Amino acid sequence: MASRSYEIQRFSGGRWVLDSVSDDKDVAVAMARALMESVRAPAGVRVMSCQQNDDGTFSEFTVFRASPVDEHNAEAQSRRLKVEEEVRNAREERAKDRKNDLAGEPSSKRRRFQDVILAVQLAFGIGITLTAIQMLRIALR
Amino acid sequence: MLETSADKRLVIRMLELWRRARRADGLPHGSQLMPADAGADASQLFQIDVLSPTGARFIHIGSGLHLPDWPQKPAPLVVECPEDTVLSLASRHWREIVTRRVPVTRGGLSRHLGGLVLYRSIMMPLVDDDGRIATILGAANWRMVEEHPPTSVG
Repeated sequence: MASRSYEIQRFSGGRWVLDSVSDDKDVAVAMARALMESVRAPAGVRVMSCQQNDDGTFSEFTVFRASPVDEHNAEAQSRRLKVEEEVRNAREERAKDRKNDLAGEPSSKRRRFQDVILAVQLAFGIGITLTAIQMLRIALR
Repeated sequence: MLETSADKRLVIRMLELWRRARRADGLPHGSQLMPADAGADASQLFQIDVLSPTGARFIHIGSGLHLPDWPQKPAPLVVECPEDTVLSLASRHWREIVTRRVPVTRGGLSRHLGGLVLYRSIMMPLVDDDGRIATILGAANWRMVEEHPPTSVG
């Protein structure tokens, strides 16, 4: 029967060095994570699944990999997803506003604009009225 | 996955202790890591002298790993450890640690004193002044697993 083990390897001195061995993938990944969080964290860690086949051959593949670069990339990816979500939400909000406009309901932005126009018109009207009163007073003197 | 996070924590804690004791990339010296350094985990620890001329021997067995009526004498041989015990499961592959020169963890479902248990263990190499692996520090814990009677088919 083929036997499988998980090798925790650390990147040290420009090469991958065996650090520890586990018979369980989850334990191996936990050990690799603990190594990355340790005081003397290496430049990188990885967990290799190693299997010895019945015919005597070996096969191995990476099941976990972490390095400060990977962590930076993961952080950047998370930031990018957040920005994408914000853009999507804003786009949806705009689409909703457009839909409301088409349905005859003024959007909040448009309503604000109309309020400003009304305020300007009122100010202008009051100004003209005051000017007219002033001119009338001058004429009657 | 049957293992609890508590099973894993002992292994990770011991590994961190071992990693802290190492000098650069070398293996830790036997004097740098003693069972007492494990604090509350010390009861789950065992230590094997692999350079004993008469065969690998236990030089320390924590109280949590003691077996009823065993050992009868101090420093028993590893091969004398009663089978179907977690101590035997955790220690019998000690040669792999000497060969690979790295900590090795093993676990799974097995028998301990007649009951079904889920165990997790680790063994870590410690060197002497000449850089030879002289002792192995091990740790193991387990929990009982409920046994279901076999169901007949047909």
